Amino acid sequence: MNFPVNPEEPQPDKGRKPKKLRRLEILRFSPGDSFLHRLDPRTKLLALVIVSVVSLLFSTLAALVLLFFFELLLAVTSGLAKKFLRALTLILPLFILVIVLDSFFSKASSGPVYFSAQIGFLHPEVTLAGVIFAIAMGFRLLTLAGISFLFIMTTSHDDFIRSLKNMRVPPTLSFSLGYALRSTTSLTEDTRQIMDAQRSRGLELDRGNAIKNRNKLAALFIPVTVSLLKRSKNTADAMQARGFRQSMPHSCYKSQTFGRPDALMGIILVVLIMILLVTNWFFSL
Amino acid sequence: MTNPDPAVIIRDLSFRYPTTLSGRSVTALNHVNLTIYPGEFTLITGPSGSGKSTLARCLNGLIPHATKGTMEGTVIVKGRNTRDYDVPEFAPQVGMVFQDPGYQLVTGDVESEIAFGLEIQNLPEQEIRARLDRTVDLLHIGHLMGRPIGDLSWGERQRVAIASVIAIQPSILVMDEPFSGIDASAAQNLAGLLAGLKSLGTTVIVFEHRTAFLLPVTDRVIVMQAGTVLSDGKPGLSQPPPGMESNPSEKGSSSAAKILSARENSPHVIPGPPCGQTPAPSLSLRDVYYRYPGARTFVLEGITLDFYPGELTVITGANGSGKTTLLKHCNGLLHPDRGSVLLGTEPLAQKTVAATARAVGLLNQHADYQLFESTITEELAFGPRNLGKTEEEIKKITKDVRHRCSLDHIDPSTPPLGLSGGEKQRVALAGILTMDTPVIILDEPTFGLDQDLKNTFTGFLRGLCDAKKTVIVATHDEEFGTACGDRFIRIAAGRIGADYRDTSRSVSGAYPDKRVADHKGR
Repeated sequence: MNFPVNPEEPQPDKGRKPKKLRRLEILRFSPGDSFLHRLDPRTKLLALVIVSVVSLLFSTLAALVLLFFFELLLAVTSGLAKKFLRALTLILPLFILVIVLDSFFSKASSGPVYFSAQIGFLHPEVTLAGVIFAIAMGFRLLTLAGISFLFIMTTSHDDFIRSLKNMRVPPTLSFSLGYALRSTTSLTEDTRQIMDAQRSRGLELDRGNAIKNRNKLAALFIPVTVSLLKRSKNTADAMQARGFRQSMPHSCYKSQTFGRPDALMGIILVVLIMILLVTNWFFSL
Repeated sequence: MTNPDPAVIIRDLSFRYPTTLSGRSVTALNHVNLTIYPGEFTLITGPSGSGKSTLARCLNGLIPHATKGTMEGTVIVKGRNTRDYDVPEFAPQVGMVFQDPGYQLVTGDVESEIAFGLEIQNLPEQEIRARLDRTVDLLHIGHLMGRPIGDLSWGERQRVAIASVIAIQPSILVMDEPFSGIDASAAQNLAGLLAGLKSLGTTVIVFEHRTAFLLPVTDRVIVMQAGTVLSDGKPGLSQPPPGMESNPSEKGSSSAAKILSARENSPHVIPGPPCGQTPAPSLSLRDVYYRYPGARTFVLEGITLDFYPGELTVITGANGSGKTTLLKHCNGLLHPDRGSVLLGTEPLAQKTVAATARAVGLLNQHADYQLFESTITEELAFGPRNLGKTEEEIKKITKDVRHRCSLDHIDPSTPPLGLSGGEKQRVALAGILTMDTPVIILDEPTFGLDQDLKNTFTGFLRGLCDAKKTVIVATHDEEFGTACGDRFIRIAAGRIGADYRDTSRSVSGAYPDKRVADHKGR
């Protein structure tokens, strides 16, 4: 028996999003077949937790810089170095803020004093140790954000949800989480459609204060809410029609098994922690 | 027809929706009796609001379990009363594909989507793998595997939605208006696919008012009207009700075929202004190129077009060919990367969309989303008020437009959000028309309208042309397009594939009898 095929059904319009949103889109799963991609999502989740905890426990510059370079190395091996660095520019303002504030109001203040003042009850002071501590804190921020970015970039939503399932998280909870993660795209799309429709009806959104007028807000808020409610009702019906029930066990079609990469990652993490401990021993800063 | 073990038995089924915002309580089904046997291919048709979708929802227990309302009578599916079993328990027997595939795809990629329903059944991994492979072969969607759902076109999503249901191997497949979002070639494919499933022994029940594509493969046609079964028989034997395609297999597909073949024969020609008219286009596109931010390829590639007052231009093209993108350039929602859009002689580039709205009214796809006011009157006044018209003017035009959009019978103080789908669509359209712009652009205006409403609508659009408006309609509905257009443009992959005028129809005067007949058809 032969079904007719439509070999060249056209692609829908891609990337129909305003520029502001596109910057955030670096922070998405990017498909690949690297070491990180091949890791079991559970291993990655564990690595995420371990690296985060380690970066909070160590506060010396040497250890944190080392940890950051470890992440950079991981990014390079997964072919994501460029994206990884671009994603980190997202938190650049925060990075600078942390360094500046920690330089002036550092707990560790010893060594040469470059600046000192008394403003009310504040006592800003810049010392060598303080600056080094501030830079360390900046790197702590980078390592914390970086490991999460790597996780997001190398783990698809579906894999992540599947690993939650395998860790015996109730299906209703794991499904809801996965669906919420994915819905952002469709909600953005719906909102844009509604904005376009109302602008076509003469609603001035391009200039002037959109919040000034009650009607302007209602013209966007009500349709967005209605479409959201409609979407959730329809999706709930469709899921029931496909047999979704709360509290029923679900099987998983792609069982996840720990393999050689996972063992390797375990060894790497242990070695890393040991190196960090040694560095901490030798460098007190 | 005497099979001892019917797949579906419906006895004296009535359903009434609860009182809506507008204070009306709608009886959707009225004493329906129906028996469907295994292996039958049943087409259930009827005008908008005849109870098709409601009946579909009764077949797997969504009514009475998930939809509010009062149900009387019994529905027995595969020997089980739908009152006694909840919706998920019917999933292994009844596969349901909803009208909008966007709502029923819940995972991120095609493979997980098809596996989702099987995981819920708690099947072992190997069984899921095997069924997954079989379904992919059956539906020829190997090329879609591993692709994110978000990148698929409407037609592809629909195919995945069908696959995800078929994988559960239901003995009954129910589809609600599967043809409303797809163009002619995708519709042919779908009809073939359904015929194939039938040959495998699946009971197929399709609820649809675009019947032309299905009549050759269907065993039985049931016509519904106002919540009752009007006729039931073999295709061709049943008497079509007023408002349905009078002889769909001939009229629908042959005129669609005519327009298609005409296109093949007409190469890339750009007609000048229609004869007997002043050659001053009201809207022009000059060598427009457009690419969505971040995309590699152009959606529009060198489009040059002139639209003239008093002419109705129909734009067709496959899903995703760039129709909507083109229309969004016509009122400044999008600006070309290269080239320009002129309103008369004025370029659109410097104007805001709201300023352009004085001259160009654009009705978006799925327009019922734009409704938000508390009464119809307010909803219709929203546009003209934004344009700064006086209340006096607004009152006058609102009354006129309500009449022309067949909204007279609805109390104008009704909240538009409480209306039915077809009514909402008409209110949204009316909301554009009250702006009284010289150029009117409609993107898929017939979504969810039945033949009866489409005929009224065709007459209405002709009236706008007679009033020297420039009317541009984008549609995938070939039958509707041929019935109302003066000029036909086909967009293919961002370029003009064909552009010609219907020479049998003189633009400035009398229209052929065919259309007059359509008007009287209701």
